[in-house]
Amino acid sequence: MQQTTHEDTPPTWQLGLVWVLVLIPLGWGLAQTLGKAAPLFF
Amino acid sequence: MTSLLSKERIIARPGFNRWMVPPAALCIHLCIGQVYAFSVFNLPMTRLLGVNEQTPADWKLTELGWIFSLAIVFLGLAAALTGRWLERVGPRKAMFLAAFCFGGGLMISAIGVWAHWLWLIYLGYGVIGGIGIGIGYISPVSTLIKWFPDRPGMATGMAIMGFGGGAMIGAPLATDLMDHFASAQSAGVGATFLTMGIIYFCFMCLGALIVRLPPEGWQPEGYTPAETSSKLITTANVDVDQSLKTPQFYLVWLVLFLNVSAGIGVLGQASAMSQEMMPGKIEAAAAAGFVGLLSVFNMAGRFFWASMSDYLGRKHTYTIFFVLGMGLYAAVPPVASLGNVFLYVLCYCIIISMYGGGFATVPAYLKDLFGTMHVGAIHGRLLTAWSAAGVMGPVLVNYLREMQIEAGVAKAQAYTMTMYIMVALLLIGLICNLKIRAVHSRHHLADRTDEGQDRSFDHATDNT
Repeated sequence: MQQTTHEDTPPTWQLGLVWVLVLIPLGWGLAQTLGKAAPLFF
Repeated sequence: MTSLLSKERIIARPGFNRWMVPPAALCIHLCIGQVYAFSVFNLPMTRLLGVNEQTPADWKLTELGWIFSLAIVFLGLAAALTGRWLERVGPRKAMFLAAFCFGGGLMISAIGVWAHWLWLIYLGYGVIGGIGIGIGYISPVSTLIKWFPDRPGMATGMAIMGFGGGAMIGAPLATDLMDHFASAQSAGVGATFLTMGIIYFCFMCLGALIVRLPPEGWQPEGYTPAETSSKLITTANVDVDQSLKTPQFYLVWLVLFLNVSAGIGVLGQASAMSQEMMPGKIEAAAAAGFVGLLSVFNMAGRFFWASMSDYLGRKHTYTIFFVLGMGLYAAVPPVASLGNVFLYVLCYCIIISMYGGGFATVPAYLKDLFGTMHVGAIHGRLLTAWSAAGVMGPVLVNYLREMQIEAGVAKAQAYTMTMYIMVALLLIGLICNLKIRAVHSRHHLADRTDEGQDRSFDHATDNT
């Protein structure tokens, strides 16, 4: 495999961090939207 | 700065975890998906001068509608025209440019609001922001396909799911910020644009910083390309200009156009349509919930159907969209006349999941047909189908409804003919999809294949 990069490979904890960073706003948006959907059935 | 953005710099070292790339794509798509929530600004922007009520000098809704339309037009143009450049410079530079355009477009619009210059908002959000959305939309697609040769549908589905999720974040975020910044003198729109511009710019730059390209010839650990390739899946590559000379490009264009036309018309009219088709059963608050639920299924469908296409094959997946879609559209009028809210909502949720699925599955379909090398650029050109459907779908639904009401049909039944027209559109889409065959080898680039990283997939089972 070639090694042509000039940047370090991010450590594993950063992997978890970026997933948390994208999932938090997504979860927040989902909760807001589902909250609005409640009157449809209840 | 130039070297920071260069394509060579972002080639991953051995051992790089490829699961770092989908969140990079999500950082972009979760932001640019805000465009579908832009309508939350419309009413507040009609009373920027009057604050509590509209004055004659305030902008009209018809004038404001052009902001969204311009953004969609420039989205399509940018995606179509910058695809080849994107393949050359790599995803990081493209993502940074998208961040500058989209974040900057919102900030310019903030000045437009404060100065009350509508033309500046057209330029800021409509033109510059639209270009940012177009570049951002296609920037991670080919990178994800290269990182996930074993699951290209799932990988691109995850990113394009973010675009659906962007509206779910953008709408409540804008509403909360406007409430926060509102005062006796201002509706808070300018400050909201500025704040969202800064937030989105930072978030998109984060995506640009963490994105990486795989080294040439890289394959996932343990991944063994299938021995026998499906007829539809090529190991060769087709140049972006050459792809326009193939019937496959236009057939896939029609497949996307018809699938999107059927869904987008429903999405645009979901609130009014649900209340008119189910009078007394779905009121205004429930209709708002119905719209929200559709956006959830639009988002989830992007991930679910694109992931399923890795197992079913792209052609079979679209066949399901069209056949199931026809059945569901035909079922909506009788279900509505029965007054069953659950079944009515279920029908539309599945329909909209397939609308989203159509968007998310198409990059992998293009990759199967035209190879990996120019898939981003070809995908960009195909997105003109989205712009065209964005015009035709809503016009069709609105025009047919008006026509029915003028002919004396009750509002509850006014959508019946529309549903049957949608069935006809989907039938044409089904025929186009079934006509798709492998691209003839005379269109293939002579000396370039995907060097092992881009062969057929273990689970793809297209056989035509």
